[in-house]
Amino acid sequence: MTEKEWSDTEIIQRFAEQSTRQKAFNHLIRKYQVRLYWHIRRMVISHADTDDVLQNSLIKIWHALPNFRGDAALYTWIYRITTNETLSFLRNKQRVNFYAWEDTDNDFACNLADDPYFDGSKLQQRLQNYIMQLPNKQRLVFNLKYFDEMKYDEIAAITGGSVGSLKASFHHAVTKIKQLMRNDLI
Amino acid sequence: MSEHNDLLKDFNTLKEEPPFKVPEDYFASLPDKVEARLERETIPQKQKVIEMIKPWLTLAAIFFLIMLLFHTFGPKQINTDTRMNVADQTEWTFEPLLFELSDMDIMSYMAKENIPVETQLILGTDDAQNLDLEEIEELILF
Repeated sequence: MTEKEWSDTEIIQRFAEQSTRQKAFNHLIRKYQVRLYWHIRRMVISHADTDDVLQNSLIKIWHALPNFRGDAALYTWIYRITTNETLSFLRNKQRVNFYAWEDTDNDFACNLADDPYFDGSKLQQRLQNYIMQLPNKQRLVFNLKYFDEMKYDEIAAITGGSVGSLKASFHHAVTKIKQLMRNDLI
Repeated sequence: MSEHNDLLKDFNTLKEEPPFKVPEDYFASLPDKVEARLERETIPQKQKVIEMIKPWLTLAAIFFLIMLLFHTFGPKQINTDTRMNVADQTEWTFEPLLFELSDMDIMSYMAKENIPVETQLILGTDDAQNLDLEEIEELILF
C-alpha cells in the first residue's frame, strides 16, 4: 500500500527533525522526481546524463534544505537548484566539446538518433532537433512555458531575471523554431 | 504557408506525450540510489582525511623501513674511508703551514704557551735543524 503524499510544509517540518529527516527526504524525492526528471531530460536529452544531473541536484537539495527559509514555494526552490545544476552541466559539456572541436548541437542531434530511450515519431524528432538548436536560456524558457505551461512569474522565480526579458526569450525561441521549420520546408 | 501552419498544429499535439522512454523501475529505485549516495558522502570528515592520507603514510613507512634496514645492515666501510680521507687532508694542510712560520713566530708562540725553556733551547740549537716534523710536534706538545 502506498503512503499518502506529504504536503510541502509537512516535508519541511519533518526534515528539520533528525529522526524523520530521511523519511521526509524520501517523500520529497517521490513527490518531485518525475517533474524534475522531465525538466532535465528536455534540456540534456540523454537518460544517463539526466540521471547524473538529477542525482546531483537531489544531493544539493539535501544539503541546502536546512537553510530553506520558505521565501518561495518549495517546488520553485527545488526547480531553481535543478535548473542551475542542468545549466552548469550543459556549460561544462559545451566547454569540453569546444576544446575537442565538436559541435554540441550536432552532438545532441546524434544522441537523439542513437538514444535507445528515444521512441518519438519523425515529427517529434524534428521538433526536438529545432529546440536543441536554441541557446540554453531560450531553450529553458521555451520548455518551461511550452511543455510545463508555467506562468512567466513562476519561470522568473526559477530562472531569475524579469518577466519582460523572459517574454522576449520565449518570443525569440518561437521565431527561431518557425524559421528553422520554414528552412526545412523550402 | 498552410503546410507551415499544419506543422505548428501537429507540434501542439506532441506536448502531452514526451518522445523519450525511461528505463523500467527507474523512478521506483531512484530514492534508494540517492539515499545510498548520501550515506557514502556523509562518512565522518576525520575518516575521510585518514582515507586521503593513507597512501602517503604507507609510502613514508616503507621509506623509513628501507632507511632503517640500510642503516642497520648496509656497508660500514664508507665511514672508515671518510675518516681516513679527513686525516690525510689534515696532514697535507699541516706541513706547509708549519714551514711558513718564521723562527720568531715559533719562539713567541712557545713563550705565550709557557713551553718549558729546555724545549725552547733545544729548538734554538743547530741540532733542531735535523729534527723532523713529528719530533718537533712531540717536543712542543709534551
